[in-house]
This record gives sequence, C-alpha cells and structure tokens, in this order.
Amino acid sequence: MMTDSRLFLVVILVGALLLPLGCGRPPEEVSRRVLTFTDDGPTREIIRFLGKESQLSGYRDFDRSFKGLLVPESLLPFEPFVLGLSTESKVPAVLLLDAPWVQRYGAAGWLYELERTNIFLRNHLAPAVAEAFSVAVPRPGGPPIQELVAVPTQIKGNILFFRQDLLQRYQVPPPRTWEELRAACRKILPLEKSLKHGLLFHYTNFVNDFYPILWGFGGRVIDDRGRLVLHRKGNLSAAVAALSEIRSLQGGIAPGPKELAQFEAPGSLRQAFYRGEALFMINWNTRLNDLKELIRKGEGRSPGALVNLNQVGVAPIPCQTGQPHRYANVGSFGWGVNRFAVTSPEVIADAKRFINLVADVEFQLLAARIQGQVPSLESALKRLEHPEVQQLYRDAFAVTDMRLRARPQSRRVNNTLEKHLLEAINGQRSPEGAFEEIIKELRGLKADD
Amino acid sequence: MKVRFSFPKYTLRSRLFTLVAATFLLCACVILLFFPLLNLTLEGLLDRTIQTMRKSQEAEATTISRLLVLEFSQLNELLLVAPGEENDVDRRIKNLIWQKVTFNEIIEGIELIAGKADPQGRHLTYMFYRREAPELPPMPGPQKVMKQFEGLEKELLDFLNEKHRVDRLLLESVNRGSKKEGEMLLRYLPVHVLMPEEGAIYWGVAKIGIDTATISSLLLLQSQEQQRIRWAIWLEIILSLTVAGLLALGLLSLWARRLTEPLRELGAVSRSLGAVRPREFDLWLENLKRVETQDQAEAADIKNSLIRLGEALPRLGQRLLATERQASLGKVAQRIIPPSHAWITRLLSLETEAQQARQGNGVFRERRRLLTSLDTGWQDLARFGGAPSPTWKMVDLNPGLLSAWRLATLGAPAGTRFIQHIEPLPQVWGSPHDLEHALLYLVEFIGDLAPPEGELALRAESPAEGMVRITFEVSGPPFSLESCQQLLNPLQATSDFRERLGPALAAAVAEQHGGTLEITPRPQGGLVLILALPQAPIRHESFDPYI
Repeated sequence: MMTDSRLFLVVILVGALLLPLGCGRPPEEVSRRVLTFTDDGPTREIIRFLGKESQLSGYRDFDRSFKGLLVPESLLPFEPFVLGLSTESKVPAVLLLDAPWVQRYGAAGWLYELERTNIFLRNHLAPAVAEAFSVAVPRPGGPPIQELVAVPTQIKGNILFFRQDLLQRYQVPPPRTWEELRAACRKILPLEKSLKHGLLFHYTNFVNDFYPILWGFGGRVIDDRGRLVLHRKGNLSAAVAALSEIRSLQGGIAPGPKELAQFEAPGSLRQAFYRGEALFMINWNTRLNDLKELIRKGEGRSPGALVNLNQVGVAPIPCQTGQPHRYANVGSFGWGVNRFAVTSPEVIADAKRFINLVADVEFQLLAARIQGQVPSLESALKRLEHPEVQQLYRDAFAVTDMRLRARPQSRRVNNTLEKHLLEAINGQRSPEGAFEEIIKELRGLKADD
Repeated sequence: MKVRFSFPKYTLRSRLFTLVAATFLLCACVILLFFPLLNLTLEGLLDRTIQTMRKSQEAEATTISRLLVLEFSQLNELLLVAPGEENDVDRRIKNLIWQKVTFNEIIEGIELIAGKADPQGRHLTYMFYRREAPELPPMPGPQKVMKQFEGLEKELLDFLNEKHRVDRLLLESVNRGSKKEGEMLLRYLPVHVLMPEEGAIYWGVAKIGIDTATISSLLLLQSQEQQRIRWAIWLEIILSLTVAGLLALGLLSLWARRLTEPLRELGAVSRSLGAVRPREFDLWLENLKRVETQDQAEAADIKNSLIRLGEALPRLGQRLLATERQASLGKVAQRIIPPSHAWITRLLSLETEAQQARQGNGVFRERRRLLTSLDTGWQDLARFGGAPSPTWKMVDLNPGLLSAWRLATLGAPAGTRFIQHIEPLPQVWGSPHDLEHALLYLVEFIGDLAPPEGELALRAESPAEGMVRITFEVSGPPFSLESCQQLLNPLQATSDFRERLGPALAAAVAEQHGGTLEITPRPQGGLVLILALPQAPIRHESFDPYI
C-alpha cells in the first residue's frame, strides 16, 4: 500500500506536470522603435566620417537608431512635406528644412517647439541664424513668442565678395552702402584693366540676390505673418528704388542686359571672379570654398586671375544709405521635429539625441573642414581653425548690422518676382512697370490680406 | 442568548472529514471569487481591445484619407474650379470622387470643400456618398453644390482653412453622435495642390467618410470571443475544483481513516468493556492488547492505561470479593452473638437449677437443646469461614443452603415470620466455596433487609428444565424495577444502594457458574431474589473450569 509521503509526492508530481499546461508562449518582443528622418548627402557624408573617426557611439550606431528617408531632388519643387505635415503624418519625424520652409511650417504649427521642450537651446546658436529659424508661436494668455523650431547646421547666406587685394591697394574700405560700392568701382575699375565688371550678380535666380538688396532698402515682400505687403507704399517705393539701383549699375559697373546672358551657366559668376574679371560679386558664402578649390587647382589661370585666397574679401551685401541693417538671404537648412510624430516622451528623447548628433560641435567642425561650412553653434565658431571660414563669419555674418532673413516661402511670389525682375534687368520693363505687373499678378494673394 | 455551536456526537473521523469538506468548500468559495475578478479583467480587456481597435481604425481612416488627399493634390484643375455652370473640370472632379467612393468599400463618401467662401458663407463643394444605410435615400450621383456648413463642422472647416491643419478636439466632437451623412467615421484634411512651378498651394478641405461596419462586426466577434473565454474559464474552474475536491476529499478521507483508526479501535474496545462478562474479561484484555496504535503517542498512552486498568480490575475484584465475604461473615457472626449469649446464659441458669435438682429431666432436655442450637449455629458459621479453594467439583447445595437459612433466621428481628419450602436439590458443577458464599451473601442481604414483624421465605426446588432454583422472599417497602437492577449494578447505583454488594457478587458467582440471579419487586412489598443454577451434567465431573 502506498504510504502518505509517497502519495503526497505523486500529487505534487502530477501538479507539476499539469502546470505547463497553463503556460502559453510568451508574447513576441516588440521591435525597437526607430526614428525616421529626411536623409541628405552632405549629412550622410559627415556621419560616415564621424562614424569612423569619432569616439561617440552615436555616430557608429547611427543607422541602427535612425532610419533615413531619402527625398529625391525632383520632388522638392512640389514641397512634398506640406502634404505629409498638413495631414498629420508621423513620418518623417525629423526633417531637414530650408529656412523659408521652416518659417512656413513653423507658423502653421507643424513643427515642434525646441526650446520649450528642452530639445535644443537657442543660446547655443549664433544669434544671426537663430533668429532665422524661429517663428512667432501663439501663447495662451499672452503675445506670441519667438520660438526656435529648427536647428540650423550651418550659417549660409548670400554675401558680397570683393577683391581684397585691390581694395587694400587703393585704400578703399569694404563698402557698406551702394554709394560706397559705386564709388569704389569708379575709383578702381579705370585703374585695373583686368577688371571687366565692378559687380556681378546672378542672372538666373536673381530674386535670391535681390531680396537682401530690397531688404537693405527697407522694403518687404511679405511680413512676418506671411502676408503680402509689397503693394504697400513704403515697400513698393523701396522695391522700385532697389531695382532702380541695380539698373543704374548695369552697363558701367554691373553687366548690362546684353552681357547678362553669359552668366546664365552654373558657376559662371565664380569663374569670372576667379579669372579676376570682377571687383565685387554677390554670391552664397559657400562659394569661398569653391574659389579656394579653383585657386588650388589653377585651371585656366589667366593674367589677373586669383592666385591666393587672401585676395578675396567678404562683407554683407550693401544697403541703402541711411538704412540700419544689411541683409543676407539665408540659405541654411535646419532640423525640425514633426509635431505629429511626437506621440510619446520617447520620441522627444530620440529627436533630441538625433539633433544633438547632427548639430554637434564635432559634426560642424568637420563640415567646416571638408565642406567649408560656417558652423551655426557658438561653441564650434570659437573652435574654428580654418581661416577662410573664420573670415566668412567674422567679416560677413558676425558684423553687427548684418541680419539673416528668409525669403518668402511662396513659390508663386518668388516665381512672379523672378519673372518680372528679369524683365527689368534685361531692359524690357522699367522698375516701376515690373512691380506694377508683379502686384497685379499677385492680386490673389493680396486679396488674402 | 448566546448560541454555542457544537458538533453532534459523531466520531472523530466524521468530524475530521466534515471539517476538511468545510475547509475545501471555503477554499472553493475563495477560488470562485476569482470569477468576478476574471469578469472584470475580461471587461477591461474588452475595453482596451475596443479602444485599440478604434484607434487602429482611426489611424487607418486617417491613412486612407491621407492617400486620397495625395491623389487630390495632383488634381491641378481644382485651382480652376468656380461656382456656376458645370464644365469639363467639374465633370472630371466628380468622376474622380465617384470612382473613389464606388470602387472602395472602406470609403463611404467624399466631399471636396473649397477653402474660399462666397459672401453668403457657402463653399463650393463636390460631394458623393454611397449611402448604404437603409434609412438614407441614395444619392443620384456626385454633386457640385454651394454648401453652407454649420456648428462644429463650420468651426472645424474655418480652423482648417486658416491653419491648414486639423483641430483634434473639434474633429472628435464632429465625429461624436449621429451624422446626417450616415454612420461613418469622418476625416477632414487640408488639400494642397502640388504645382511644380509654385509648390504646394492650399485649396481647401477634403471630408472623407470611412465605413465603420468593420469595427462593429469585429466588436461583435470580440464580444462573442470574450463570452466563449468566460465560459471556458468558468468550466475549467469548476472542473478543476471538482477534480481537486474529489482528489482532496478522497485522499483526506483515506488519511483521516488511517489517522483515526487506533482511536476508533480503542473506543470500540473500551465500549465493549461494559458488556463483557467476567469469563470474557481475559479475551477483552487480549483484544485491547491487539489494538495497533500506529506509533501514535496519544493512542499508545490510552491503550497502556486501559491495559493497566484491565489488568488491575480482576485483582480488585478478588480483593472486593474477599472483603465482602469477610464483611458478610462478620455481619452473620454479629447476628449469632446475641442468641448465643442468651443460650449460654440460659445454660448457666440450667446448671444452677440442675444442682438444685428441682427440674431433673426437663432441665436436662432444655440444656441439651440449647447446646445443640449453639453448636449448630457455630457450625453453620464455620462452614462459611473456610479458606477459598479454586477447585471446581460436584456441589451439593442443600447443606449450605440450610446453614445459610439458619443463619438468616437466627438473627432475624423479633416477630419475623419464616416460611420455608425446601426440596432436595440436585448437585451442580462449580466452586463449593463460591456457591455457598453466594447463598451467604443473599441470606445476609435479605436478613438485613427484613423488617420487624416481617416475613422471610425460602423456596428451594429443581424444576424439570434441569435447573436448580432457590427463591428468597423478604417483606418490606415496595421496590421499583429500576431499584432492583441497581442492586445488581451497585457501582452505577445511587448512594442508597451503593454499599450493598452482596446481590451483585452473588449474581457474579451465579453467572460464573452459568446461572442467573434475578431480583424483582415482591407484589406485597419487599423483594424476590431467584438464584438459578444449572444442574451438573455427569460429564463435567472430571473437568476443570474453562476460564
């Protein structure tokens, strides 16, 4: 007969055998969350460099934590992000946006505030560029406040390039106003036979060069709320004056209508400047790096061509006499966070980690070294070791009366302006007539006002 | 009044079993309490599932709507639409939304609402609803109308047209309650027309109705599944409890039976002590010793105590018998002393008279009678004073009976009437000593009980059935049957009868010899004691007693 203890053991054994029947398979582990971002070539190149060189694990494991979505360049004219953001798409979570888009998307409330949420502090940025990536955000029970909505990775804008060697030779300071520029040209051009032009500006996309000129005359096309204000009296007269100033330079100082065609080709401006044919040139600051490359290679060097980068000086684009500020049309891109992707604190943490990687000091210093970019971080600017980049910041963007401003985001506005401005500088229409046509075409936008 | 719970007089095993069953039922009730908790959990699960499904469907609706908006963003003609007569552009737009609604089961309807309103606040709207709901009339086809919006929907559209994004709270409010479009999930999304030359141009709002029948059927399925799970778990709990209960009660019953077996056997043996006859006492003691205690300390203690008690009882009985015998002899002797003294006094007087020779022959005869009486009395007493002998043999009860009767009558109170009817009795098989003393106990008892002026009767006979029957009758107060029984069980009797051990000892001797002693009330008052003994069979002559 079975003893008590044996019976007890049998019961325990049977119970233990039955136990697994109540245990199902554990649920499968949910895959790890990955932050999506808009991928781009320059960022990818820097990340790859830092992945090899940097001690930070964030760069080595970058692709594990973040999923890049490449945006074909052909789609960019359609503003593909508008559809995504306006319909509250969660992808991509972090976007690299042009400054005008930052203004537009920020004003629409599609971008997440970065300062308030402690993702990135505005005082880490150079003041000039921080302002361009901030928008007025409504505040409950108070006036709107300027809130940083994107973090620029560099300072980029169009500035005035000049022949520093010649200005020093003739003891002419860099011009602050168009009068001073005109005077400098009158003084130097007759004496320097290699110079064909006093001032070069873009023939295609002239509107990008015109905006800082217009702003330097005190005019605006749209206001801070995105409303069209060009038709208002002060703005219209400033616009006509600015265009008239450019028209007046054509022929003697700037290329006339007939000569403009030779500057249609990409890179034609910097090539002419490299050949020593121009005293002044309006162009993006990144062209200094291109000039450096041209000088280093020395291809097609002719008598009078640049042989040393020290021959090149930079300054803000001149303004009208009496105006307090000079302007640059900001061309920087910045990282903004899609508001609709922020569905949990983890997303904020990931976005913060991402932005701190792509806007890191090491990142920007490397970009300055290999791409000639001007860092946007104050701390990176202090550690700059490249004289040409230091020169760009010191002589152009850090000048006290220099302001970076984003052009209007509306392609319709820009395209309309571009079309009629070209007519004006081609001599087909007077400045007054050009702006009359512009205002007429933008009447629909005006009605929105 | 405080009611105190007490178990009925059941065995320890029954009590243990009952307690175990009660404990199991209590545990089962506690386990069954989990069922309401399970219900709550399932309800919570259902709620969470519903929430998840709703969120999932909302996300799906948003995605579908977003994809539609992506298609509408390619519709450059939207920038050309205007109120008024229908043209090719209107027809193309209407055709597109007809296709989207007709060939997509998820989409219940679409409205394309231009952002700009006319002075009356009406918006140019292209709309088409499939309207599968029976209470709604079918739409003839896509419509181009100037539509005026009201209430929350208007607020939402205004917000959308101004901010180019959706106000979540307003959207939720619009989706609450019944809608004139039918039961559907509504999505309002801004529509931008993408132009390669000009970028994204805001046009207006796409209002898209998403079918909710899917979620309803899923919820129904979910509810049915929950019910199935509930029943299955309930069944599993009941089944588990039943199996566990049967197993537990079965095992515990076995354990309880095994645990209480020594105590039960001890109880049975103890209980049988009351009914055991003296000649069966050794057998009872042997049974007690055979009880298996299974190494239980308490049972072993009880068993040992009972054995010690059982072994002491016979010795106590012997001592009690001897003591009672001595006491009876003493009482009888005490009863002889007064008449003996009177006889001796008379003899001395007769001695004097004989010397004076006043009454020659008469004195001599009286003197001889007195001496004879004295001698008979002391001889009768001496018969009962001998040493006990364990030897059994054929016994002639007649001499002993006569001696005992004489001793009984000798010390009887004055005026007592004696009736005797003595037939010669056949021999019986037994202990002469014990049998004669049994007679002595009885005559001592009735002699002591007889009142003055009372009556004592003796009848000795041998009925035909082979029995020897000796009947004593004594007058006195009336007795009840219960009192008569108490005389046979003096240790259980009341204090009045506690010290009268004679009848009980006589009954024990009679029973030892296969006979009986009956005590019944005498109809006229007093008692009748009938001692019945079996006649001795001839074959017993050469055998010893069997116990």
